[in-house]
Amino acid sequence: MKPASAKRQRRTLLYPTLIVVAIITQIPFLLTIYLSFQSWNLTRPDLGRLFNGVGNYSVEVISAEFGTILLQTLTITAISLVICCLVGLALALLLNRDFFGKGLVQTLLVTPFFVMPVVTGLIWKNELFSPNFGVLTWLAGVVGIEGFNPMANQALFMVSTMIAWQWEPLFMLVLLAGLQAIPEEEKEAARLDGCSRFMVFRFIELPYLFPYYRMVILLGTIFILQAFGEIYVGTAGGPGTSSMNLQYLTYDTAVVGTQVGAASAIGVATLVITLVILTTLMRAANAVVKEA
Amino acid sequence: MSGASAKHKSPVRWGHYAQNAVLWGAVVVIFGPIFWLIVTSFKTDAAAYELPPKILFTPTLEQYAAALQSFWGPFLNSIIIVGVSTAICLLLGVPAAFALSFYAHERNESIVFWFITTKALPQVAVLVPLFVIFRSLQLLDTVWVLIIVFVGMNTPIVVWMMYQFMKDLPRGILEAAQVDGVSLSQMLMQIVIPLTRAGIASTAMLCVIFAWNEFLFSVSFTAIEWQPLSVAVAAQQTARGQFWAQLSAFTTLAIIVPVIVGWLTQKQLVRGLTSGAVK
Repeated sequence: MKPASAKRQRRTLLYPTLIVVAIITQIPFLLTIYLSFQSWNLTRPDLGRLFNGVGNYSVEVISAEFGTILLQTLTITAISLVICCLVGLALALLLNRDFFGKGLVQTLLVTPFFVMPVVTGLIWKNELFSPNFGVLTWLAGVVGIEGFNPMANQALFMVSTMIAWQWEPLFMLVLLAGLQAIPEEEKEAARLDGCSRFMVFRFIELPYLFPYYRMVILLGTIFILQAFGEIYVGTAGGPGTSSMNLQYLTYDTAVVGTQVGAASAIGVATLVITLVILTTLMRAANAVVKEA
Repeated sequence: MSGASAKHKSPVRWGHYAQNAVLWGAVVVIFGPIFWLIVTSFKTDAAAYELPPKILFTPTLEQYAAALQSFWGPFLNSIIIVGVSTAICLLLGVPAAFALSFYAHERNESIVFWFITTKALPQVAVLVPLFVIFRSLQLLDTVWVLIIVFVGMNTPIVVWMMYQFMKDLPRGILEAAQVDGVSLSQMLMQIVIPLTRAGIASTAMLCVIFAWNEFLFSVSFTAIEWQPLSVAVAAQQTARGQFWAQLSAFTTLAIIVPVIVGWLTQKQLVRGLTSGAVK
C-alpha cells in the first residue's frame, strides 16, 4: 500500500473522533475563560451581560470562602487517598494467596466501585449514620457514645470515608495486579536466603508496586478531586459549607445560584489548581519510582 | 527434615486462617452496607426503622411494588442514554484507537496522551458553558443533552483502553491483509474487531458503568422529563427520605445494572487500565 493512502486512512479513522472530543471537551473550556470575565446572572436578565474584567476572580476566587473550600478539597482528597492506599494494599496482600472462596471475596470487595456515588451518600446518610435509625448510630448508643451524629459534626471526614469506600476497590485491584506480576522465584530466593515475610514485602514487593502506586494514585486523584454525588446526597456540602469541595462550589454557584460569570471564574481556577496538583504529583511519583 | 516441616506447618496454617478471617471482616465492613441496603428493601416500613436492627423478619415485596411505579421512567431514560452514548463512543473510539496503534506516525503517542488529559480536566471547567450552550439550543432536559456529554466523557476512555488492546495485535496478520489489498472497512470489520472482541466488551462495560453512575452533568442538565436513575435516586431521597424501606428498594433496583456489569468485567478492567500505564 502506498504511504499516501496509509496517511489518508489514518486521518479518516482518527479525525472525526479528534474533532468530536475537541468540540465537546475543549471548545466549552475556551468559552469558560471568556465567561469568567463577564458579569451574568441567568435569573436576572434585566441586569444583562456585562464585561467585568477580573472582577469575578478578585471577588470569588481571592476570597476567604474559596480558600477554605480549596483547603477542604485538598483535605478530603488527602484523607481518602491515604485510606485507599493503605486499605488497598492490605487487601491486595491478603488476596494474593490461594484460599477457599477467593473469587467470591474479591467480587464482594470490589462492589462499592460500581455503586453510584449518590447511593453511597444515601447509605451513609440514612442506613449507617442517620441520627434516628442509623445502624452505626445505634451501635454507638449501645457502647455509650452520646450525641453520635458524625454527618453533622465530622462532615468533612465522613465525606472522605465515603470517597475512600467508593475508590478503595480500584486501589486493591491495581495493587493486586502488581503483586501478581512479581516473579515467584524472586520471592522464593529471598525466603531461602532467610528473609522474613516483612523483608520480602519491604525489599521485593514494595519496589515492584511503586509504578502501580504511581498509576493508581494519579488516576485516583483525578477522580477524587471531582467527587460530587457523595457530597450532594450525603451532606449537601454542609453544615454550612464545611464539607464542600471546589466541584460542589462551582455547581452551587452555576446551577443553584445561576451566576454564570462567577461560576466560570471558579471553574477556571479549579482547573488551574487541578493541573498544578497533578503535575506536582506526577513529578514526585516519578522521582520516587526512579529512586526505587 | 519431614519433622521440621511438620513443625513449621501448623503456625503457617493458623496464619492462613487468621488472614482469611481478616478478609471476611473486611467483607463485612466493605460489602456490609450494600448487603444491609438489600435486606432493608425487603422489610416493611415499620421494621426498617426498628432498633436494634431486625435480622429475622418476614420478607415482603411491597416496597418493590411501590418503588417500581416511579422506577421505570428513569430506568428507561438511563438505558437509552447510556446505550446510545456507549454505542457512539465505540463507533468513534475503536477506529481512532486502531489508527493510532497501526499507522506509524510521530504524533501518535502524544495524541493518545491528549485524549487522556481530557479526563484530567475537572468537569466543572466545562459545566457552565455547556449549560449556557444547551440552554440556548433548548436541549436541556432532552434525550440528547446527556448523550452528547457522555460521548465527550467516555470516548477518550475507549481510545485509551482500545489503544492498549490493539497494540498487542499480531502485526503480521494485519500487514499480510494489507498486502492482499483488503479494504479498510474489511480490515476493521473482519480482522481487527473480531480479534479485540474481549477488549471491546470490557471497554463498553466500563463506559456503561461510568455513564450510568454519572451525576454532576446529569443533575445539572436534566429535570423531570429525561432524568436518569442517578438523578432519580437523589430526588427520591429528598421526596421519600422518610420511607427508608421503599427508598432502599428503589436504590437496589438502581444499582443492579452497573454492579452486575462490574462483576463480569472486573478482571479485564484492571488489565485495560494498567497495561499501558505501568512501565
